Amino acid sequence: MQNLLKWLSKPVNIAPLVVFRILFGAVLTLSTVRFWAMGWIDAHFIQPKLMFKYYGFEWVQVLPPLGMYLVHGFMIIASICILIGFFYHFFAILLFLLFTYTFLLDATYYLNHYYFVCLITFVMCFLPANRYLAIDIYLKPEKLQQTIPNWCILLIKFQLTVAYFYAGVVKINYDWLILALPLKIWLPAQDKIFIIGFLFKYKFVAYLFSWIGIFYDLTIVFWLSFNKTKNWAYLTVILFHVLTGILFQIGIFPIVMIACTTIFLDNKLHIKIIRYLKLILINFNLKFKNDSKKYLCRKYFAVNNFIISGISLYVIAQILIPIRFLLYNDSIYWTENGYRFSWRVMLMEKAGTATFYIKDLKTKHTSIVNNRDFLTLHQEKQMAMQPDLILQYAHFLKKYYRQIIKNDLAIYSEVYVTINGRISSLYIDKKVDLSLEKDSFFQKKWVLSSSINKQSKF
Amino acid sequence: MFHRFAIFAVFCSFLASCGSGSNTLKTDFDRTLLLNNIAEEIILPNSKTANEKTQALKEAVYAFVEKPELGGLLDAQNAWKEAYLASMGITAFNFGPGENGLVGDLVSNIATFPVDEAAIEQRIKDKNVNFNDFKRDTRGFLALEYLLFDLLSDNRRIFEGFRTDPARAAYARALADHLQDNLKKFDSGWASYKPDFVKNNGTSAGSSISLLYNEFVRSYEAIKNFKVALPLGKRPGQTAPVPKLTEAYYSGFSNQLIKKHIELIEGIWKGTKKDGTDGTGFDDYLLNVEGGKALVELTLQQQGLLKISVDANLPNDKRLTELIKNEPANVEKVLIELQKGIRFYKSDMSSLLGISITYTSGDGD
Repeated sequence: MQNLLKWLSKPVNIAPLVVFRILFGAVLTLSTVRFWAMGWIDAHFIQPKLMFKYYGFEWVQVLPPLGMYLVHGFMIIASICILIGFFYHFFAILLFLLFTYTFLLDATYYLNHYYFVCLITFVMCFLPANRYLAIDIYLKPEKLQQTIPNWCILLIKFQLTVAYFYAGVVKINYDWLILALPLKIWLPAQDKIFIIGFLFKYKFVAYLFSWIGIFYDLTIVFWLSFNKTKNWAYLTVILFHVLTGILFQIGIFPIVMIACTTIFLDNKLHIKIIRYLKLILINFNLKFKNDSKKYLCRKYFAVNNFIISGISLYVIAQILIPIRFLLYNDSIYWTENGYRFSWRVMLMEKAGTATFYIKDLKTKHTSIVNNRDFLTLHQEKQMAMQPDLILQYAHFLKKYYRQIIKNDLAIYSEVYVTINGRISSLYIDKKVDLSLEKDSFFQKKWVLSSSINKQSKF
Repeated sequence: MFHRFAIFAVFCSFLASCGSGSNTLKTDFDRTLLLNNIAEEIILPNSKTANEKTQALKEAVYAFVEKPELGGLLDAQNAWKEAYLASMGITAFNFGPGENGLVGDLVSNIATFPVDEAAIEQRIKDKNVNFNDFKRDTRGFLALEYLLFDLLSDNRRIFEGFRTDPARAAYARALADHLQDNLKKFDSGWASYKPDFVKNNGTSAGSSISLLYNEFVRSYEAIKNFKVALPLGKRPGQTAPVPKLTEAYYSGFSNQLIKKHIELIEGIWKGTKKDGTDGTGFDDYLLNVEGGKALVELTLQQQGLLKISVDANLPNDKRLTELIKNEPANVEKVLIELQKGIRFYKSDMSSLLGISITYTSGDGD
């Protein structure tokens, strides 16, 4: 225990954290500007007629269009301020709150990397990343710090480790290893890619990629942690993410990972980068005072009981949340109990076709819903394969049509779901009036068992 | 070095053979062939026919309103039927030249139903023939149908109407012009768009296969939701069949149109050539990917069931408006068969082929 405390509070050079701050700020600025430029603020937050919520976060509501643009505007400002280290803690907290707000608005846009950004911005609220090469230090030179306690770096490394490691662990399944699914589906679709496209027609390439992928995810942090291997490992990080970035429509995610993984690189390299940045700044006549003085680690950031319990809590939560699926019966791929927040990245090809029926309980007349009346293509696609979203949609339909039809209504569904290219099979009990069911953390009884329809061998 | 390579090769071939259902080492399908076949054998010839038939319709309408007599009316009605039927051949291609921009896509501009009778009459009265707006239910084939056909086949009432009201004649001419403009634009648009369409042979959002696929599914769903469920009173809020919501309500020509529409959808899926022989379509694509064979069999089976049901329950010599009134249970059988087929197209096929469904690429994981 004493050793652990010593390890956590050991003073280390601040350089990796400063580089991390700069890169993370830059990537988020870029990412948010891109999001805006692609017209996604409109497409994600203004166009949709209804939004799907995370269990427990139903109260998070969308703002009027101007508000949504302001939110994104402030996100860009906050990201830039983090980059330059200006009122760093204030803007880190602001970015965390705003980003998490947009994340919670519509569950159909759940992405592991959005969740990752939520977590990292949260962690950054507590880190002294503005104690060096920051406007804050330019304004208050006495706050300068060249060393920080080890836990500040370790916490970010831990988060990356969790993401990579679990992403690898969840790939240990029959479909991925033995059938090379879903890559056997996804890769041939990419056969027109520049130069290497023709390779993806070959099935062995899907196997190769599946096995290399799992090996990469499971061991990359290991290779990144040793001086001898870390530079080569980082090259493969770049290669891996660039390749997946070209192959799949995963937007900014590869850049986020390439930027964040720099934290594993050698201190000397970070110090070099900072020195180089300082030279640039001097050219702009921005001189940082007191640079030569060595400042020791301040007490404020040293390990105390408060910090140690905070870190422990965070670490335990991060380890347990991805494996909460073990508490449920049936295949997680089928039921999705515990699927989100578990680093299950690009893991399966799942799709559904969902038709909803409205039964007027007075006249007994049944009618069919046209999903396109309410949902965007993206929302419909996501809803049709996730039980909690199917349920939310059924509740929405009841509320909506109650106003038109006036009589009491029952909402039935006919949902077929396919996993990894198997012929789709019935997903939800057709006889259940979904409008009477409630979401909870318990197993959903109206989701049919996967064993009877041979969807998943995981 | 060579040894290592040999071991690697053996390992790879072992992996490639284990667990896979088919014996091929390769998933080899040239989407260019599919795109080219669909363009060359379906879209271009269908567009040419639709354009020609609409030209003939325009001439017939002009001739009729010039001299409103029974003979001319019958010619115009006939030309209308042929032209609208021909337009079913391009009803699933609302992308590329089918995207008209500001006032909506091709199909909603030329084939919106039900039409707004009162609004049409008002426009005739106002002599308003500007179709650059969102009142799509006052233009298109089905507005022209309203002017040319009497529900009770009282043709005298129709040509008398044209005789007494020159504004009516002007509106009919304007409708025919508008249709001709749209179909001509689509036809010439495709002539120049075709090379791009064939060249854009990836699978991501915005690729030709993704555009084609999305409109294919949307069009199939439109048969189910709007051509059958809507008049049958199966849309939420409806309580009983509403004959007036039938496509081609006035001419009573709906069943042929539905069949032609289904024929187009299945033709795209099979890649049926203009001479009726089999060409490269989605079925061939599916047969070339892992697990596609089972889906092709199931889809073919469902297409067979749908055909049996349509032939039995939507006979050409009966009006859909009558069928939904007198034997709604039979029409509902068609609806059920349409519903049964949807998952094969909607989730199973896109999943197996790895086609992007959404129009814009996301920040996906």
